Amino acid sequence: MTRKLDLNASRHLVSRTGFGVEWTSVNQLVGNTPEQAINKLLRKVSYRTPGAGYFTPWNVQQNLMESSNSDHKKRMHTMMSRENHRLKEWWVGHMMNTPSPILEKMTLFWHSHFTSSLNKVEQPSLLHQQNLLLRKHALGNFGNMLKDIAKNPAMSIYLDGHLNEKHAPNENFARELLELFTVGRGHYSNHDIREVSRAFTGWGVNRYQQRHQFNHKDHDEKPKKVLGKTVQSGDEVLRVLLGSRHTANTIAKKFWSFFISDGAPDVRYTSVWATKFYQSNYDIKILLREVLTSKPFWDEKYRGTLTKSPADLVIGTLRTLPFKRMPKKEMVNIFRLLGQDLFDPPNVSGWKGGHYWIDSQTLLVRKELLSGWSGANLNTKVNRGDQYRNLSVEEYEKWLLPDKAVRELPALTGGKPRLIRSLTLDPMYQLT
Amino acid sequence: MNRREFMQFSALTTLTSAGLFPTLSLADTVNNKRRIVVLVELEGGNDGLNTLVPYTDPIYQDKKIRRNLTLSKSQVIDVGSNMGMHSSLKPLKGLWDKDQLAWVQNVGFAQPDGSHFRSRDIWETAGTFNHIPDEGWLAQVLPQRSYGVDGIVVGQGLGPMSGKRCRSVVMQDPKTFVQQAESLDDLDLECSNPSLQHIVDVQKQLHGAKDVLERSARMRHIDRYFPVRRTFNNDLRSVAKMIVGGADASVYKVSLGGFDTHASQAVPHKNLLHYLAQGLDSFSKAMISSHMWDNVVVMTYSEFGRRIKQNLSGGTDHGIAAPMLVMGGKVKGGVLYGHNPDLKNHDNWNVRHEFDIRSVYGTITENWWGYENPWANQGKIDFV
Repeated sequence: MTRKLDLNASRHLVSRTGFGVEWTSVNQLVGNTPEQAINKLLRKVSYRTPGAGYFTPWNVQQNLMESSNSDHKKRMHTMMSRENHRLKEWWVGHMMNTPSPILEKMTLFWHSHFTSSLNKVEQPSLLHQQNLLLRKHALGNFGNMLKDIAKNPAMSIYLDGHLNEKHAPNENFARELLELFTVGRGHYSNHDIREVSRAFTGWGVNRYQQRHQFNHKDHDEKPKKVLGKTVQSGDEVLRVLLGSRHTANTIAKKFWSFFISDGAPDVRYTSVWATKFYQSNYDIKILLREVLTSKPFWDEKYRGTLTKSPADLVIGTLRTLPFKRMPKKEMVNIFRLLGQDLFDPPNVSGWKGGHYWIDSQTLLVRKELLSGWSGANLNTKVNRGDQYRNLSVEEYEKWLLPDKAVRELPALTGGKPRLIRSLTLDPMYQLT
Repeated sequence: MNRREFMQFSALTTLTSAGLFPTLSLADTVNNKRRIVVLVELEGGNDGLNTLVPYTDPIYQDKKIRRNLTLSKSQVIDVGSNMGMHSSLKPLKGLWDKDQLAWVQNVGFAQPDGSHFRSRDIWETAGTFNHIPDEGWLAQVLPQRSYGVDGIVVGQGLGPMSGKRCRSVVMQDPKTFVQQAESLDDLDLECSNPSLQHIVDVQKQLHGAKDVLERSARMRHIDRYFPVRRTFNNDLRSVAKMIVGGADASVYKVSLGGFDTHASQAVPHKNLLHYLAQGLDSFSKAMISSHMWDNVVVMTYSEFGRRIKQNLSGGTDHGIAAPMLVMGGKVKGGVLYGHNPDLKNHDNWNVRHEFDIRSVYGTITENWWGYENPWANQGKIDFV
């Protein structure tokens, strides 16, 4: 597609690759070709994150956990819940302020793919470490990310990999590795799962030093047969899995659901993306470019067919409109109520997304949130997004909604806040 | 006159007897005598063998097989036939003794693959390994209506009540729900964008549900039956309030998480069963005192059971068949349906299934609700 981006197309690209439709970001891309715009988005990506604060070392935590003194236990619980919450606030805060929303969006994508939870891991520093790993590879190489994640302490604890030993195989990690992380359902047998779990025996964790630890005596040395190939080590298993085109397909289909539409992936496109991804040796940027320059991405029939995630809704709205900022602590609670409790996914398959974001419970919370924000006075101290003074009703609609409003919009004579309230409370605002 | 014709006939004449065809009968909605099902999902795959325990089975007692997990005679409540309930289920013994609690043993489905997600899909949709219908099993049997609410989930996800034909809502509790739904306008719209249509549909259902739940939000006299403050108990309390408050839903769902016990299972599993029993005990008391116990069937389910043989992390891996607990004033209780689990003739250390989940659903559909049973070929179990 060589056509230059207009306001509509530009807001589409910005909202699908970042959070919300900040006026300046949208306008910067108007007049560019899609390729130029995508280059701009991927050019100066900032990988810097703010410090996440202090995490209690494992030995201190463990002493308190194992103490028979109930006061110690209570103290441990208070401490843990404080640190868990702080980690969530850290990420929400960074999503709000980052100059590179595309990187956070991709990190969030991978957090739902290679997911782990504070609830199970019980050591927030390890989830922070995992988050940094996901961000490091978010726009890098999927193969490298997979190799790192297989040795990631939070992941090993989350899927009981650290308990997987020669005389006591534990299949949890092996199963999810095949079913969710790589080749996907239908492309492996239960026998493969058992063989894969044997290959990863001995892959342990040192919680004190927050690192992977290979325990030789727990490792099953005998050969294993995985997807028809004979292997010995876990590393070799990962090579076999990356050697399967089904792995590229799994990711390509997930990109459809993340970037194009809630509906079922159109395999005519995802199979082409998967091939390119596979041929590039799993270069995520190549896959992303392929998706963002594809016909369905720009096809108007897919505008407004993606349900906003809680991050899109909360962070996106606050980055776009001059509503009163809320404390990070409160934002974290809102994320939870909306069904996207960061670092605490519902289960190992992450968040289902799409239509699943909206049920009767979460729709009520969404409405209440937007009603509260748009009903209050606009915060004039916040500069962000306040440069849209001279737009017409139609321009506001084009900027803030992916498609025509469902309900009738008030005229501008009723005041700008009233129009913006109508726009944000319109059902179309829940979509992108 | 075949069954189907009879149902149509009765719809025209309201000739129905004693609430056999609840939503078709005017008398039902007036007398508030609906037939209700409360589903309790045990998330993660409950270890059935340590719930309804074959404690006299030498294979179960073999220390080489369940070293850290076997329960001895003193750790179970004997229910006859060489079986015992985990001692944590003690609060429910009274219901067993009164023949209002039954177990359906070895429930599962063909070609299990051990995946949480696939298994949950199958349970929720009455699907099979090869085919997952796109709506929940309840949407497939409940008659379609244009008012009120068919199903209410307290917690997350519509699960078995999902699907366009089912009017269902998810909520945290009825009080908050009614407060929040107050400001919604009634949106009625057909559109070609499925994502938008979904939002419009949810909003429409919220609007409908608000009206029928306003009374439930008050029912404070129910609180005394739920002395323990725990999410599971609170959720059951919400269900009790809605039932007593006259909400017209046919089915409710709550869940208790944490059953995916791959490691160090003994203590957490014991606690979970204790929470389960405590919650269900409170719920049954609230129903009995409100004269609704005869109108309710409570049924537990979990995506799969667990392996006969424990792993060396002191836990158990994903299994196949497991028992379901069924209770209610009209349940034919004090009975263990099916055979005791066959630990000898196992499938890779898994208990094979004796009853297909669809025969359980069919029993509820036909015996309890009197609706047309789409799974009649699977047989019934007649626990109600």
